[in-house]
Amino acid sequence: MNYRASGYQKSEISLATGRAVGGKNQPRWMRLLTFAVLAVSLDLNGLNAAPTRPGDLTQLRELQAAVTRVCHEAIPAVVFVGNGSGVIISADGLVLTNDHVMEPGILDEKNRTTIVLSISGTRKSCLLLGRCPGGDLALLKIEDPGPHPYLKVGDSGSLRAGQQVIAIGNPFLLASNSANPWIHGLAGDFHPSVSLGVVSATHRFAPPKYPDAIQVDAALNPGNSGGPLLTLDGKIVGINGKIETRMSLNINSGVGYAVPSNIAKRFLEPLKAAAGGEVPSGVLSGLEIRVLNENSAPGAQGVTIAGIQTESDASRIGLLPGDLILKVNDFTVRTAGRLQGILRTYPVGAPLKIELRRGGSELCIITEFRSPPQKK
Amino acid sequence: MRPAFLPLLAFFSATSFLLYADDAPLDSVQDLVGLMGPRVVSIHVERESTDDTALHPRFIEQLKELPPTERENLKSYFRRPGGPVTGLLIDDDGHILTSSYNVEGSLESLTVVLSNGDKLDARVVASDRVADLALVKVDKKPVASLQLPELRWAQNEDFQTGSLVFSLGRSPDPSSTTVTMGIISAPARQYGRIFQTDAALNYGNIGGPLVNVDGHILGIAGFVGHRYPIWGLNSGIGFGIRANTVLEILPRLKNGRSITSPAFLGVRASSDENSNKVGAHIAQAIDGLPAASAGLRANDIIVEFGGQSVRDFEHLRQLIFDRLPGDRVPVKVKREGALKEFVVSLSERPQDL
Repeated sequence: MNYRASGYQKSEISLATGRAVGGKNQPRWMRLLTFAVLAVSLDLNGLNAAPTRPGDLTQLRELQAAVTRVCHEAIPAVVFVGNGSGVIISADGLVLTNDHVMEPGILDEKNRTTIVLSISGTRKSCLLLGRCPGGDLALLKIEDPGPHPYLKVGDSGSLRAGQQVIAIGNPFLLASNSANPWIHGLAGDFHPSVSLGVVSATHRFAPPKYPDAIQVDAALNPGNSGGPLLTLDGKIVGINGKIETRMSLNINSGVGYAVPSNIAKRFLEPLKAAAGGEVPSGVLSGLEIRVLNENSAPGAQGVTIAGIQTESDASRIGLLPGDLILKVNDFTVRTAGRLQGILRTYPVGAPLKIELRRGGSELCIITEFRSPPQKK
Repeated sequence: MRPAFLPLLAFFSATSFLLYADDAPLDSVQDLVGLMGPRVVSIHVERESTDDTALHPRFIEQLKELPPTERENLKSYFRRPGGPVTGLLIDDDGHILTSSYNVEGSLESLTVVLSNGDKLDARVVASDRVADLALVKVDKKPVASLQLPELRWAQNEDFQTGSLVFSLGRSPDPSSTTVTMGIISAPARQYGRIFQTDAALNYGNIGGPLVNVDGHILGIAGFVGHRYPIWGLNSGIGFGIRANTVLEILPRLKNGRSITSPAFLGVRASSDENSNKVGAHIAQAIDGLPAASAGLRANDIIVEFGGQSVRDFEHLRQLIFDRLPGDRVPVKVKREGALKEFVVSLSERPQDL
């Protein structure tokens, strides 16, 4: 151990002085020697890195400490809404959940519903502030002014595939519900279910309602909908809402989707102001995209516009067939799915910046998301 | 430091090292699996393959409601796959704990394969279908040759939401231990008898131990409460019979007492029950069942059950759940303002209820 440490130090010194030793006025053999020392030092760097033995329990204990801490802090902010879940995001009681959790039966004529708090089982009357069917989001407000335990909404843009995440919710209504014939959620049991997994992919295109989803392998089942997806520092990075299933077997498959928190943030203010109504997702109408294989190939440059419908938003802002879209709102676009994911996840009126290549030149169009065309 | 102290210091550090080594934290999951492996056994169950009892009893009940052809199709789909299941060797006498589901049905033979490959005839000592636990016994001589690690049961404070859970199995290949990893999803369900985990539990590792990072046994992987009785499809919602439940039930199992049904009182709750009133309000005492037989009737309010005051109907449910069929329980009832005492003999749950 000591030997290795001193070896490391020695080569560090060589590395630091490498430029001087390897200067033009040095003999060729010396430069070669320097190169050799450099190579050795890099190797030793590897040896001295933190141990990453597979299955190391020291690291797993650290993970366990982080997960139990997040559970301890986060569970009181998780609530049971209808046949799903939700999460309190402010001390005054704003509750974020999925739009599809707001089933017709759970709201009274004054747009109110009763939610159940984790652990205590306290029932609280909530007012529906707004819903966004396009993004599968809904915002409620606990009528009791609080203060309530809440979780901070984090930055889903920082998520990377492989990052550990925690999902909390009420799958199969295991807590607080006795309607289940297989396991009775018993009275007095208001403990939500927690599952641990990793981010499998970001910006997954899972239309119609999840055009820009976080894919996770943490166990998600019916009832998890509306519950939070959390980072190991306890911040909300997603609202769990969808699972891939086969046949009629509606249970966890290891492919779950969450609405990214950054999308929820875009809709938060419109939802607050919706007075119980719907917040439409903004659109850029009239864009025809050819889904070409090369678009999804590694290193693909952008997405080519196949056609533009007349009298559409796309034609009005001057887009032309053949334009190669490179970036939208500063997000690099390499696939048609990613382009759709960006274009379908902003509220009406949000700024829209499109960077594209036309012929040999690059253009930038600045406009805004429009209202969806009225169905007649 | 003065040289005279050095031998003494050396002695102390050696002692403390030895003490520490005995209790040393495990280094890796591989160590954990290697340490616990000898306690994990494979159980080969031979039963009549067409026997309905190979299915879970609750599921059989649901099947009865289906048209015959659909019923047969589903039965073949839901029937247990072949292959062994897992058990936990709990002592040198050859006692093995497993899920009662694993040894349900009319068994033709039961063979246990130890970690060293020894194949032993086994028998079911007793099973508890409510707790989903069974005790299996093999000859103690072959077990004595195994290097069994100390058996340490987890304490109540070990059940923290988010704590790591390792499910150990010995199936389908009896020569190696399998492991799946997850966390405690909920520390206590079903009145604290079971806990919930997202570690993958499937036919095969059910019946095996669920251990924590220190190698302490949190419980036995159980069938209890699976949402869908379809093997091979882990939903991420699995349940373990908690260590405290296991330790509570074990003496009963060793005495050969099997439980096939929860205890039953035979009363229905009053729908207008409100939380301000103390006690369980009875809308109906079903004819021929324990409560009615003991003299209880509609509009009675059960205020005490087995010496414990009853908060509400849900609390009564829990108090009954903690009892066994056949238990004789003193009950205090409020009837028209007066307090009356009865003794009820709890029954098994009737088939039609």
